[in-house]
Amino acid sequence: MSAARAGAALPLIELTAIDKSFVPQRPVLRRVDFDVRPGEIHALLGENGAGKSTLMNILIGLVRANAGAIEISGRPVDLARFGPSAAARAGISMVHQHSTLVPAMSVEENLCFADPSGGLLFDRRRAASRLAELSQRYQLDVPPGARVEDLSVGQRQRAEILRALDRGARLLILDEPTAALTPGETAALFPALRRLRASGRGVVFISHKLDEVEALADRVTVLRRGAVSGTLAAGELDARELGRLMLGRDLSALERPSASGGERSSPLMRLRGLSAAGLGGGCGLHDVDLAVHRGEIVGVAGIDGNGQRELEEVLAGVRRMDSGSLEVDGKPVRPHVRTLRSLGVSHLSGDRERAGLIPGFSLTENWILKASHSDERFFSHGLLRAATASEATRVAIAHFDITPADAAADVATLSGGNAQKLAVARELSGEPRLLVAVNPTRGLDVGSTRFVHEQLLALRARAAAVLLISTELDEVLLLADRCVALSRGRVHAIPADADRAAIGAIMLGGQGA
Amino acid sequence: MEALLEAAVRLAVPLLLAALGELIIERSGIINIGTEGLMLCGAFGGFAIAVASGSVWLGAAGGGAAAACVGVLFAYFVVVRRADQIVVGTAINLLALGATGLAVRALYPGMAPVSPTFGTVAVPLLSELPVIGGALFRQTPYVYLCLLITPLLAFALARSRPGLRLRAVGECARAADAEGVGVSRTRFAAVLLGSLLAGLAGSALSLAQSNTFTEGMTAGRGFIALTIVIFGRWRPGGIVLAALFFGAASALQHRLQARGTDLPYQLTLMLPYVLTLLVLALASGRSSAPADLGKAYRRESR
Ligand SMILES: Nc1ncnc2c1ncn2[C@@H]1O[C@H](COP(=O)(O)OP(=O)(O)OP(=O)(O)O)[C@@H](O)[C@H]1O
Ligand SMILES: [Mg+2]
Repeated sequence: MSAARAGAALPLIELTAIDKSFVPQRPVLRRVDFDVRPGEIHALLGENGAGKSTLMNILIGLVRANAGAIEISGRPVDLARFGPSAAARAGISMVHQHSTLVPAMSVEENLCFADPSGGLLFDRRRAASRLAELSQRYQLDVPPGARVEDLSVGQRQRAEILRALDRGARLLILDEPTAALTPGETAALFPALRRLRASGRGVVFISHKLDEVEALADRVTVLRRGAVSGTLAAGELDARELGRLMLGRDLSALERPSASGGERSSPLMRLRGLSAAGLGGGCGLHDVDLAVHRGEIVGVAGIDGNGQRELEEVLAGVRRMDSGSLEVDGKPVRPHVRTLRSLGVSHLSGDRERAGLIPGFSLTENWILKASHSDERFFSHGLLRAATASEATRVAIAHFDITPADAAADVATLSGGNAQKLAVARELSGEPRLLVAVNPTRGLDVGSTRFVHEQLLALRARAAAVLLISTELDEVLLLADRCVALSRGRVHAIPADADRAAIGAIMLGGQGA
Repeated sequence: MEALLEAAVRLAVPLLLAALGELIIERSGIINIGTEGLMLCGAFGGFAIAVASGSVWLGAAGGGAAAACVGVLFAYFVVVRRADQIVVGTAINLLALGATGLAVRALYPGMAPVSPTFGTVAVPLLSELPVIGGALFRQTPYVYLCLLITPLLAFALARSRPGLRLRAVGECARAADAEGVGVSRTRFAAVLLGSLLAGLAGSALSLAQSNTFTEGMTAGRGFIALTIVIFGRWRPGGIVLAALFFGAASALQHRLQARGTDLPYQLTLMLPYVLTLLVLALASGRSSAPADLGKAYRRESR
């Protein structure tokens, strides 16, 4: 490194001509150049499966590139010996797309176990006060002392972000950090990232939400199918242009046919006076009344942790109701997985890492996972019809544009967005009469989000009912015929003419509205 | 009563040492069913070195070292080569049984000699305590070793960073790796330490509970140690209780046999196992096995 170049312009990290394929003949990254300068927020955009997470994993040494070079502050890195601990020593830390918290340990223990600055002993009280201080400073709320496995997706995400911020890294990589955050939390995170930038650190920010990228980024690199399709400076950002770089085509606005209208039949599903205990310090559900009709999308808005998971689990038949009743077609039903399935109630889990898909199983195996032995599509006399099953999976792969287009591939090798597409496709394939969809587009790119939204609307057009439980207010407002808000375990109606501010107040205040 | 308690503790000690060793290994995510073989190596190594050197202390150290050497072999296959843990563990058991049997016959044709043994050492004052004095403080040094390392291990697992890292690797190797904790290094170290303890446990059999080595003298204690880890729910405290429970059941069974009851002796021999089954069936609750137990970790295969 020459003395003249050692000025401010020297990138914190520079990747040159990175090639990567996990499976021969299936390149994931092709000659990718990427760098982050000090005092810069560099956004990385791209469709699901474009290679964003892989590129970042190469950057922190968790994945080894097949070819290419990495330089940290101008010094070349020996790729053969580069790994996460070397990256940590070089001041690089990362919030991974898939949780890297240890589920069986407490948040505090997770904060400390890999902290390079920690001593030999783990001081529980000091860790707790540090967590409280971090929570306070960054306005990200994490329940102290809780085991990670008891936390909601949002709480885990917040804990993960706090841990990364706590490391005080020179380069912070955030892989879809906002996918499970509320707008409020996202808004609180941004100033923190800007402060990092102001103090000369580098930030890589991955998101599928263009407005976030526009609000934050100094530079944007777009990946398409493993190659850089463009790098733009903040001034040149334009949603259409970004969309084109990502997808290679323009995306038109979603057409939402008006409600099917007509006379209201009796509800397909009705909850009366439902109460259920809370999970891991959660608020539980109190006296929830909710009805969904055929041909209707009912949106349940609300901030994560207000009873969404409890509601989801009751409707999935895996959580006991303490009181209240569930009716389907006007008849009382004991919520139980099998009963609900046989009545045509389908459940799209909001937690695909834990409840939706089984890593280690192939796409086909996951596809038929929820089909019962009596399902004649895939089983005859209790025996699997393997050819039919993989054919059905292939059709879905083509229809939903899932990559890799290989029914025998392990689900664990799918990118986050592609795994979500598979889960959505599977639930829709059973032609449910009622679909309980929880955050159905979490982690999906704009194109896929659009696609899933169209699918939900198509389901509604086929006179099925959809209960959309989403922490994404925009999504609820876009799709739902009728909205309610879930706040501290209670359901509050949202008037049809309420504006966003009013809805926000209902979501926060609950009874006040 | 006091004699029974004393016998229970004495019989529990090799089980406890081996189980604590297995605990360390399993907490790193590796299942080592070769404990029986490691104990056997420890028993033989301890005996041979004690006989050769005339020192029980050198013998105990040699027992630990012998098992640790075999542990390195196990770790090489399981951690480095990522071979199947059950297969390698079984191989270790068979290998140890054959090798020690062969060695004892080759080294001591005719009959194995008598080795020096650990006597009991009474701790002043404490050994005079009522009821537990004799059981805990008038014992061989192995008991004192247990009294030392059990709380130490409990503390290390809960309150030290190496302990946290060990648990992180066993619970979620991927997360630990992503955070910069060396999975292979941690597992290798855990196997080494755990084998050392298993070896010491074996040497307790040849140098404290008897005064010689006989072929296959561990008689399934390594497998009981595996059960004790499960029974104790992968916690040092639970493992102590489980080991004592086993020790007590064995002591009781010896007592019954000595008394000469009408029961066929096969039935009394079953006593510890039947009791364990009962307790295991009755105890329930959150599963506490390390989540990544038995799973080899490869970085790029997700
Ligand atoms: N360990 C692996 N083994 C095999 N294939 C893999 C592995 N990791 C990633 N891939 C493949 O590499 C491609 C890129 O995946 P990656 O996770 O980087 O995408 P991404 O851009 O982060 O997508 P998303 O927005 O959905 O998170 C995908 O097609 C994925 O299937
Ligand atoms: Mg990704």
